[in-house]
Amino acid sequence: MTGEERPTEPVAGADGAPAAQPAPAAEPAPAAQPGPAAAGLGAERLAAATAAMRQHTDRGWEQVRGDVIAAAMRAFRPSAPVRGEHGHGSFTVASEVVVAAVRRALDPLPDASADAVRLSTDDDDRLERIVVAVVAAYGSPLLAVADEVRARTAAVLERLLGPEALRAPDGSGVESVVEVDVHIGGVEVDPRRL
Amino acid sequence: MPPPGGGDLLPETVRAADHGPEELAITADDDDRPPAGSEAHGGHGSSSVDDDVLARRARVGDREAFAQLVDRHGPALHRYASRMLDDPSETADCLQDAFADAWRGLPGWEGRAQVRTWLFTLVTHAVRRHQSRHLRKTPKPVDDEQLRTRVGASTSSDPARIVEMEDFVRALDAALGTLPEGQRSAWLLREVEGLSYAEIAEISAATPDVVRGRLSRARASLEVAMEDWR
Repeated sequence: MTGEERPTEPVAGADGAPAAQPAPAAEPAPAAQPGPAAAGLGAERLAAATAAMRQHTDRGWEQVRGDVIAAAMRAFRPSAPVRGEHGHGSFTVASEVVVAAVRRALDPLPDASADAVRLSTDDDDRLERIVVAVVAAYGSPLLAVADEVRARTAAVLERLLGPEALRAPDGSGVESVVEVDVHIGGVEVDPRRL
Repeated sequence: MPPPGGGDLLPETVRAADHGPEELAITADDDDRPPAGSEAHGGHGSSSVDDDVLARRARVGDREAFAQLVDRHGPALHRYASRMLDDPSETADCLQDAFADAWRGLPGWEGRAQVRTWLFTLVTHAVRRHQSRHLRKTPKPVDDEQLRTRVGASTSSDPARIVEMEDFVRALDAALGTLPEGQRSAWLLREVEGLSYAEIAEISAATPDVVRGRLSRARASLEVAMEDWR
């Protein structure tokens, strides 16, 4: 064997299409294989069968699609508890819920979208810090974008966890001790990619 | 909100408010430039968006974006898994496991590989777990029922052509069923799914040279099988 690749028919959607696809005759028939005529027939049939296989959509996928999506949606992501407080006591919210709520709050923004949301809590599960990484639209005023992201995030935290959960536990009267940081991690020129 | 004054837990964090707008405005001197004819619009449309955008949205809990990834890549992943496992029930379980792994893993996924390659890697891992669980050490021929399930709607409108193509797929499926797992996987990923040697090597935890060797042996075996067909 030469180790070179024998091309078959072009692969539809082949993002990894070989740049160094050799010519069909570059690879000799393997040892202990049928003679040239027989090998040619086998290769021809294999190419046709491969093309047919690419063009077919398995019925099996249509049958399992719903179950596959449902199973994925049931899967829990590793999630830490975040403490919230209301008039009757405290409760905890999964960090994933906070992440998803922040993402939804940012969805309407025309010039930014959430890329990642990271939370830090203390030993008592109280939220200490939230970092919201976003991708911003090309040409957008980043300071204004960051301010809007910060404001929307703060509103989500207050709504989800309650204003008491964001204040200093020692009653010092500080309005909020939760740090909301915005990280603009990328810029997209195509608004469809936000 | 005033900061608590603690240490920097996340040094990569940028405090945008510390910078003036002039410093942060993106100008036409940047490498990225708007494509000709692109139009700004409000909200984030989801049709025909790239995989990495969908993955980014799914990472922050967007289930609709994740479902789009499933729909986009599910048929190819099923095509691959079904031919690796030879069992419709195991194939379904394998895909459920793989996409559940994907949903759980997205927040920590760094995006070094293409989404498609990553998903094939997850499916390959799930296939191996299922094979190991069921001690499928040797390939077995594919039965007629499985072949009927695999052959789906053809894009051709010529009945004779459809029958011919279905016959070809059945014959190839039967031949694939006799290949060792590594050869079968490499051949499917390369010839049917169009992945590069490097991507297949990453998926199968092998070197590109090993992949090349497996492909050569697989092609030789399949050509012989197809030559003997009928």
